[in-house]
Amino acid sequence: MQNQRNTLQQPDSLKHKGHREGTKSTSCFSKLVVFSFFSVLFYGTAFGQYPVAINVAFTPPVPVNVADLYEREDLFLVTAINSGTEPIWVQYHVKLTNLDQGFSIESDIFSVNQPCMELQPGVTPLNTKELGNFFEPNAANSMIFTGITYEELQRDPSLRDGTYEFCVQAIDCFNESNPLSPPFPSGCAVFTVQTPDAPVVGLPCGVVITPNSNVLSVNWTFIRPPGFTDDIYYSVRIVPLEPGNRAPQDAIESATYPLFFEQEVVNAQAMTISIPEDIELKEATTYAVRVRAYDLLNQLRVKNNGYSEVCTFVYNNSSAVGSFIQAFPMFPYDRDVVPFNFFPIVVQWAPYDDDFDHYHSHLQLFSIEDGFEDEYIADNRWPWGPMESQRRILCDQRSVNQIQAQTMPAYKNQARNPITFERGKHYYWTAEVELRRKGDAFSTFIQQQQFEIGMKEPNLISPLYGEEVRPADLIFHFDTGDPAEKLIPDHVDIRQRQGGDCEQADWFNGYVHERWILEVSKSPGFDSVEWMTQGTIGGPNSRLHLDFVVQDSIAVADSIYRQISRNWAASDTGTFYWRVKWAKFPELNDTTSYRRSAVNMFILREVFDAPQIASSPAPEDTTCRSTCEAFAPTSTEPTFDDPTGRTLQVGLFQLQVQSVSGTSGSRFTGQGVIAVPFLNEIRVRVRFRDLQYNGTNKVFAGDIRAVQDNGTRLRWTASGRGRQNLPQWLPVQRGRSTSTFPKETG
Amino acid sequence: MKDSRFRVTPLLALLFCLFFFPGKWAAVHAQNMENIGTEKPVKITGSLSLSAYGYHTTREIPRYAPFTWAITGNPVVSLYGITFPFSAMVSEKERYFRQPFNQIGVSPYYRWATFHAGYRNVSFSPFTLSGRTFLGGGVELEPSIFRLGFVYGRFQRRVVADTTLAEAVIEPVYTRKGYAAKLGVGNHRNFVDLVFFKGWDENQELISDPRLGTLPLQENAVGGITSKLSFGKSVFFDLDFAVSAFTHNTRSDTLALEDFFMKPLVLKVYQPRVSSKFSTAGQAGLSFRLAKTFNMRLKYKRIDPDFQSMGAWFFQTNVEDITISPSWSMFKHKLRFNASYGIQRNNLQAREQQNRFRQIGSATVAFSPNAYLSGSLSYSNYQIEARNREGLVVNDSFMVTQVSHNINANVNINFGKRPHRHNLNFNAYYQLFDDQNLIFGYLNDNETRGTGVVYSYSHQKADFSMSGSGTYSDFFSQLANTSRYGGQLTATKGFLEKKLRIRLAAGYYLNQRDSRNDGNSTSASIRLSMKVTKKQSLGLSAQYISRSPIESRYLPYSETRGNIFYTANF
Repeated sequence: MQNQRNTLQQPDSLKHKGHREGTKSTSCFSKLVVFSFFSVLFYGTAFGQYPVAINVAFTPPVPVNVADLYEREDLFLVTAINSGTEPIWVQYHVKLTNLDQGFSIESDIFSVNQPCMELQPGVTPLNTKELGNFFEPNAANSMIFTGITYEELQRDPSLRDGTYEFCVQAIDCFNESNPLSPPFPSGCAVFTVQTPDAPVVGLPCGVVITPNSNVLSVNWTFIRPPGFTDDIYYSVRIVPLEPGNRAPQDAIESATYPLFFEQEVVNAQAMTISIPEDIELKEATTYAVRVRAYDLLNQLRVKNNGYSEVCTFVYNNSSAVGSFIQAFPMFPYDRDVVPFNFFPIVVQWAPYDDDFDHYHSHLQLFSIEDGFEDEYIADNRWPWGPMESQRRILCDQRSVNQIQAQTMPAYKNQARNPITFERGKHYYWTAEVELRRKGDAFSTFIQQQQFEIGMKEPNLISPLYGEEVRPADLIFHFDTGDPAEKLIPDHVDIRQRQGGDCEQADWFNGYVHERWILEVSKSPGFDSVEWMTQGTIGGPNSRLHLDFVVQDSIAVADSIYRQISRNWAASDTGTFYWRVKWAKFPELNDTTSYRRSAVNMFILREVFDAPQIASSPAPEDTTCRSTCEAFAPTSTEPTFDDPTGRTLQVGLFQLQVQSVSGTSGSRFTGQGVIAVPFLNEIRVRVRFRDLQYNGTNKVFAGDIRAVQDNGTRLRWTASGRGRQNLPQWLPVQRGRSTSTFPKETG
Repeated sequence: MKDSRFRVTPLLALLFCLFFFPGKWAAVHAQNMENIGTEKPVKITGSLSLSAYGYHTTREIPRYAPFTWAITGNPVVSLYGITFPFSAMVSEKERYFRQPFNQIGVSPYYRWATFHAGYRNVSFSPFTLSGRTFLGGGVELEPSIFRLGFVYGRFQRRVVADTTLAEAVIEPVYTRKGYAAKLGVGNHRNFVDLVFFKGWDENQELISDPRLGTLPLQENAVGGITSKLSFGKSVFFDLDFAVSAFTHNTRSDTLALEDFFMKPLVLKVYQPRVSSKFSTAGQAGLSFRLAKTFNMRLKYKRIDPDFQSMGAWFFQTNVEDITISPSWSMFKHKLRFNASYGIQRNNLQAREQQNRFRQIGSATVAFSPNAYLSGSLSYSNYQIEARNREGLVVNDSFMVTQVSHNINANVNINFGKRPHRHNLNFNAYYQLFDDQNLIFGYLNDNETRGTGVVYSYSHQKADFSMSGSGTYSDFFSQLANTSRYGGQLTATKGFLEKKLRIRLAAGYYLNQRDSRNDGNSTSASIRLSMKVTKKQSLGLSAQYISRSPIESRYLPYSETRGNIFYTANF
């Protein structure tokens, strides 16, 4: 405990007893009324031997700062009652004591700076200035500090927690040892300063709530101040961040009624909220949460008006349940087969927060065959937050979604990362993603994502299995396989700022280089190959390159996934087998493959028997091989007009001829579309050969086959998000003859 | 209740940005005029969304307004290669008695210069200007190794509580303005910045609030330093420190200062007053990485009681804590550990009657032995103890110890061959909050536990996916013991070559309260999203929820909510 007197300069504005000037007190009717009330409640009794009585009363809210006692006359009322008939010159001894912590501040009645005032008979409300220099740090030389120093008070004038006694006593202005009002505790009033810390929210701050959760738990800690036994109310407010980069606090403060969610509990420090009955959460959305603690009588002065810090949680699907940050694989798709030999692995993180200032990722690559393959670590600093920092590097204006998509540093450039993926290997990767916000790190983990590079199995179109073909007509048709479910990485169309100018970035120099090998053998095991042909797709200098993909993705896709036809001038007849495979080393003269098609058997013979596969009614007997009820055309007089644009009747089907590529008299070869009546009129693309039709547009001869429809089946979105397929059951139809007629009829 | 004045604010801001700034930009861009012929003169990219919501309920107190709408967007206007990234949020939710809901702003930049106009969130350092929304302007320049910044604007608009409204508590505040300046050297990886922030309540008519009395006008000046340093590729250090002078009442008498160097300058920027409070805040972190498999981060933070910056949102003060966070992986990363342990104390200046100590620990182990199986187990715990300061006599009844335990387990299994994909996920959680206070502790005690299983199937080629889940959860507290169990089915299918996607979901849960039937909850929803063109999409959704409680205090209710939205990317 210490006592000290300070000697700082005295402001001129104050009247002090060195001048012996009186101060005229102010009177105020309203204060008298209040005084009459409070004199009953909080009065200091005037004893008979004292000519003056002092009354002190506090009205809510309580002072929180020493300066409030000096400046805030609305917070308390002090009145002096001169019971005599003559004015008295008085000075005031004022003392503030923290009863719990044991320190006090009081005016020094022996200081020459203490003001004197003339107290008129009757009741006189006293304003803070009239009480003297008390609590004015500039007048510290007239104050006595016990248990606290003047410097501490000057650095931090806020009132410490505890119960305070505020006392005023009138003293003879000319004789400091002569009290004019009764000693303390008369003239005292007590008030309590309770400024507990704001609540600290625990759950659901910083976690991901998944749609499978049907309850949202919220809990918080709030330390009830000692001695405070009234009910404490807690109000929980939740609002969505829309748009996602809105500041959470801003979203809370600008929220309007009816609020997205606000609910109260009394005394409890937890709340369970039913989803969706009590709160309707939207997937992939971030929510801000704030809890407020308060009491009905406003006795608690909880810091920040009782409001907790605002925190956020995310409602979304997540493989990393409970982690605040989520990261999703964007490219390649899990278990996809990508044709590029190099490509960026892209992940997207969420939720967006402009305060993230550091991105760290750790990518690990494994193969099922060889285990651990490689790893890469990225550390990106975002001094202006994710959006602004990336925008400054990348000229293009990225959306929030684009900003959240991060390419892993690996495999985006062959020169930089000279690792080579091996065709046929089964790779999988995992990634740890960490985002830092003002020193706090949030991390999440992407579970295994599997992929292969290269091409999927080629699809054999014709000859079909078991098909009989004349050697002169033998043409092998196959397509290069189903396309990758997602061909193009997201957001690789990047313009990079270089010296202030924007240039197309060439970050991703992966390309397609594949060699197909078509083999024909007389044995199903291909022990010996009768005939072989091959061709390549792409290559190091081709335009099947990621840098071009972004410019014309559809053209690139059509170049990779397409039909290929090859003639074989077979000199022999008999049973053959054929297949197509992908070379493991396309750049070498080697037939080692990493993936093969199915094997089709076909029969080469000069003279045909009846067709081996289902066909439309033969005109001769007007019977169907299926349940077809169409009659054969009665007229087989061929028409020589180009059928392009016409709709021809083929049994029960209608063939819309789109183009004719070859004509031989009345025989036409080309392509068109057939609507399949028993398949919900689904339109199947077909090719026809040697087709003949009569004057009533009825087909009576020719060969029509369904083909894989790249034109309508394959649609690429702008971001290469995937191939738009026909219903899953339809590829079964691929390669089957829709209708096959005998070469000659009638 | 709306005020039409504020409806024009965003428009004014937009006009200001569009018409005022291009003029300014002419001078800035003049140095690169040779590009003007080659750049596309005007380019607009970005996106714009319009949405409208309808709501109907039989609840006594509706959760939402019957109808609301909103327009949001991030359009980017590019003029001769100079970009103006706008952000906009306009809605009928704007209210004059709250902080602005509608916000439009733009931060155009050219090379190393960035300008800010409109509603912006700029951050110079965590304890000075730190992302607090303001309406105004600013510039950030980074020529060579220098890092300069300045912003000025309104950080808060005047709000007076309207007691005629049925709204709950609205905090009255004064119009608050401020500016911040930054001066530093370095680059993004290594830099040292000095930051100064000044904020003040405009001199205006005082607000008297029934709860808070007459609100004082306040003023604040904060000086700080922020730095990040990298030592090689493995060691990183960051530091933030600030000193704040906060005047509780700008009408307090001034403090007389003794003469010192730069006193006139200091007094020009900030006038100390009787109600001024001086405090500091700082934090430092050290991270290092070893052998690509081991990471460690150490962090220390100390914030004086009531430290405030008008440029930052509220944060917890009167704390000192230290945290250590190691993480490492084993067996070629198939097994990973993350841990964190921190201790915290408050009452740094012995101003409060109780000292509080907090311990926070967490550990996560994640495993992924192969491509098909993965899982994680995490545990976190914190304990807070409030003890009377030595020498103070307070009833033990007010001593507090609160302990929280959280356990989460998750196992994920993928199987199936392309294109059929199956996923099975099991999860379980347990949370316990134990308040050991003698009087009120029992009110706070609660225990939550739950488990769930989710099966999902997808056929990517068919653009079809479905999932079914079953969950069980219960919550025990002094007020009530509730539990619920049930499940949800969801199916999503794409049509028209993925242009149209439909999602259907339905859920049914049985509720129990104190072991007695408390009715059921049902929900059903449908969502249609359609890609109208390559860059435009349209969506519709509707949701129905009903609850039929028996035991609890709520009345049965049902509600329907609809939403339509349109998004254009351009």
